[in-house]
Amino acid sequence: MNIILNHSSMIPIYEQLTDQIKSKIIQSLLKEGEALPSVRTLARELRISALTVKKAYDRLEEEGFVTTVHGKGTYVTASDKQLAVEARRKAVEDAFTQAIDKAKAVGLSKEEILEIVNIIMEDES
Amino acid sequence: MISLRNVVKTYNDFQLNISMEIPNGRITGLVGKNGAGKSTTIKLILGLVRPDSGEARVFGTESCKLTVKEKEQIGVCLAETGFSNQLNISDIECILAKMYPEFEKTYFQRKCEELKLPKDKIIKDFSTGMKAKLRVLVAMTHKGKLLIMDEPTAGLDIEARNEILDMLRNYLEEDEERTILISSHISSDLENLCDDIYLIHDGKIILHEDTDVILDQYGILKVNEAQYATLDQTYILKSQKEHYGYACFTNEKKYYQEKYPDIVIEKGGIDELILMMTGGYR
Amino acid sequence: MAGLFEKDIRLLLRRKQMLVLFLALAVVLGFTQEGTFILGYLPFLGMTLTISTISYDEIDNGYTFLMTLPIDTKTYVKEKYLLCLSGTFISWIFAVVLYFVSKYFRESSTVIANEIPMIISFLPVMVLAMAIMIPTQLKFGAEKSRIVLFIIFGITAILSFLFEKVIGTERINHMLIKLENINDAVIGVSVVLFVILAAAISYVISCKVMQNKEL
Repeated sequence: MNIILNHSSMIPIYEQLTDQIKSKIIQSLLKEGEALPSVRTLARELRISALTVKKAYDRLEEEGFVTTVHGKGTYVTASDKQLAVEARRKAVEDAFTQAIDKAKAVGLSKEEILEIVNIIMEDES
Repeated sequence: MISLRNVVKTYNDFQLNISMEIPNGRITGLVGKNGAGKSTTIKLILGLVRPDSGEARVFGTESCKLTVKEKEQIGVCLAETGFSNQLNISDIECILAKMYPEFEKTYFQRKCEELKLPKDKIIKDFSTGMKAKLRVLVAMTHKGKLLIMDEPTAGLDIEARNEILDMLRNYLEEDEERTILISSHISSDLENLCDDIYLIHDGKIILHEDTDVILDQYGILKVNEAQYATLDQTYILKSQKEHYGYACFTNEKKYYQEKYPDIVIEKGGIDELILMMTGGYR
Repeated sequence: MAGLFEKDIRLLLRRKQMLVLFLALAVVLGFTQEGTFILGYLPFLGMTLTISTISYDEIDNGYTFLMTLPIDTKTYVKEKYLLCLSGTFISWIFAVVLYFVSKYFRESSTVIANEIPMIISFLPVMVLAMAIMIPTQLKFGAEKSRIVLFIIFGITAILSFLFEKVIGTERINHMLIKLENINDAVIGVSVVLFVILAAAISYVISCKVMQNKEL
């Protein structure tokens, strides 16, 4: 895989890796169903730790770009799955926009809105 | 794969007291100053030395009681000792073939040629670099599930070091269950190879962290007196007085990048980690 | 153990020139010296050469590395004893052959049967020497053990001197005559038993020494 990492950059390595793989998938340089190199293989090629590669793969999986099949490898997910994840994110953003509009209409300030969000999140955890 | 629980070993003027867990499939680095306890730790893991208290286990078995079959699964490369220096490569080849049922003769021969190790000289007449390459090769050619390497790249030039590191990476790629523990002074080797790092100092583990976290999240803030006075100390691990003010070691570089965009922040690698955490940063 | 044998034999063969020299010397001495010198000299040489492999292991913290190989301390000790016994025995056979050949050339007739007890008697002495030397070398290392051996021989010499003084030559002669009257077979068996016992004790001590070695 043609990944170029900048070790002197302030951007974390695993983030650089995630971004580059993501853009390859979006540009269809990596096709649906194509297998990504194994964690150790990529670690060897890029001369970084395997854990870093694993973190990048995990992050990509969370965002819906790849799927890991235990014992077999990591594959690029079908683009409709990616779109589904993107769509879900969009739906969350829309829900937030709605709630914020309502809050502003009632007269709440930015700080008060953020405080409500914090309290709710703290209650959950 | 390796487990040290509250292992204590006391010598005349030194005491080691550590706990460590290394799971399968990891490459773990062990760093620290000379005399910090790296070699003692390795000897405890290999069962060469008995702990005064606590347990050292490999493959679930106490290190001092490792069976011959279990030892066949361990490849060892120690810093200053190996086979008698009166032997030559073909001697060692035959000895290894008789000691390890899984010895890979052809691979060993091929690698000796690739690394340009002289077939006719006895080890006594090898250069430092050749001796080191041979030690690493001996450890890696019998399909052991665990490699323990004490300063494997010491004395090697950059080209040879990279050759060795690539060999280690290939080794791990062949079998996901393989695990490596490396102790080294050469931080760049560890940064590009290891999954996580243990920092040992005065016989204690003072830090255990994933390598990429060290590289990505650790940093050094260089501040003057005025900035130091108002600095948020929440994520500062250690500070050191400098001629310009203070050098502050943090494990949350991003936090400070965002909060204080004017402050000079340098990346923290393993060398900086050792220097700052053991108190001698320049 | 096979690996250890391979290592030690290769180490010994490294010193080919020295071995050839000793052999040539042995043959020369065998033919020029009268008597049984060679029957003692060669086995003793075989024994010390094989024991010297211990000093190779010891140099540069070699034990530390050896113990990471798939062997345990018992196997290491066993191999040393086996190596030493074989080396001594082989050199003894060689010495016996040389002895008879040289005797034949010199006297052209000998009755082999009569000499057998005398020839065999060298073996227990060698085994006893081995029983003392191996644990000593393992514990004290090659250099110091020479001093230790010197001290042991010195003490033995002094003790036998005192023994003679105290008991008196007369009584010793009486004892010797009594010994001669005892059946040869009984003497033979008791010597063998004594040597086996000594070797066994030596082995146990060696194992203990290796186990407690600080690596």
